[in-house]
Amino acid sequence: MTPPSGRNPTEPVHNRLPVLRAERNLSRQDLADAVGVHVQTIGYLERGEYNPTLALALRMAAYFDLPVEALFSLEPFAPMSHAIYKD
Amino acid sequence: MSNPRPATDPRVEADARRVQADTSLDALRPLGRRRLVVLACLFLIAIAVGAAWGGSAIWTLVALAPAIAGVWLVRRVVRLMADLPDELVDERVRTVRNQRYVEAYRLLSAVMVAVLLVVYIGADAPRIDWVLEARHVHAMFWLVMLMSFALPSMLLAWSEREV
Repeated sequence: MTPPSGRNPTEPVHNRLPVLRAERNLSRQDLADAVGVHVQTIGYLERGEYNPTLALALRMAAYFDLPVEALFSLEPFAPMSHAIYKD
Repeated sequence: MSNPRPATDPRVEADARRVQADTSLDALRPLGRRRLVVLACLFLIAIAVGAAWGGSAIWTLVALAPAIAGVWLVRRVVRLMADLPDELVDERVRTVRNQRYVEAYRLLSAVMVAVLLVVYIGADAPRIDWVLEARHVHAMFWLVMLMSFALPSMLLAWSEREV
């Protein structure tokens, strides 16, 4: 059986959704309602078990008012603490 | 934020929302229990097909009732995820069920090939001293019918972590 939930195991898409949700004090349900998906889908996205469609990625970027590459990347994101304190 | 989608009959949408919010079968929804439901359904289908193969109309009817109930249960346990209109499920569910439909198609194709092989052998019956009878055709009919209704939901029930 193929891997569950639409994941492409050869090209994982990394995301910052948990950090952005925490920063803005949003629940998964809040975010799901805002971008029009089921709450379970947010969990699958955050765990890297599902790669979003371009439309969903763009809706999320618009919701957070950030460029889409700030939310999703083919490379792992550096930890926030590293970005803040590295200099 | 708007999420444009085609218009759906409001009654269908209301039914879909009710099914998606259904909690009456939550006791059967943890993954382990869902897998038991799938195995039970397969067992009941095997019993029904075996009864039809045996040729007793009464026993076939008696065995078909629980098999049909099993198919119904598997579909409800996954909240009709395999059957709801595209516009009423989110993109991840559409992706997942498309994968499972492909797998169901491959499995059902294998079942059909097996059935056709039996019919093919039956057509050559005089040489192998076995005659393809109506009861065998009934059994194969019920096998294909029940599996085609249940298989996508069975695969979803077996594989999805959450439903």
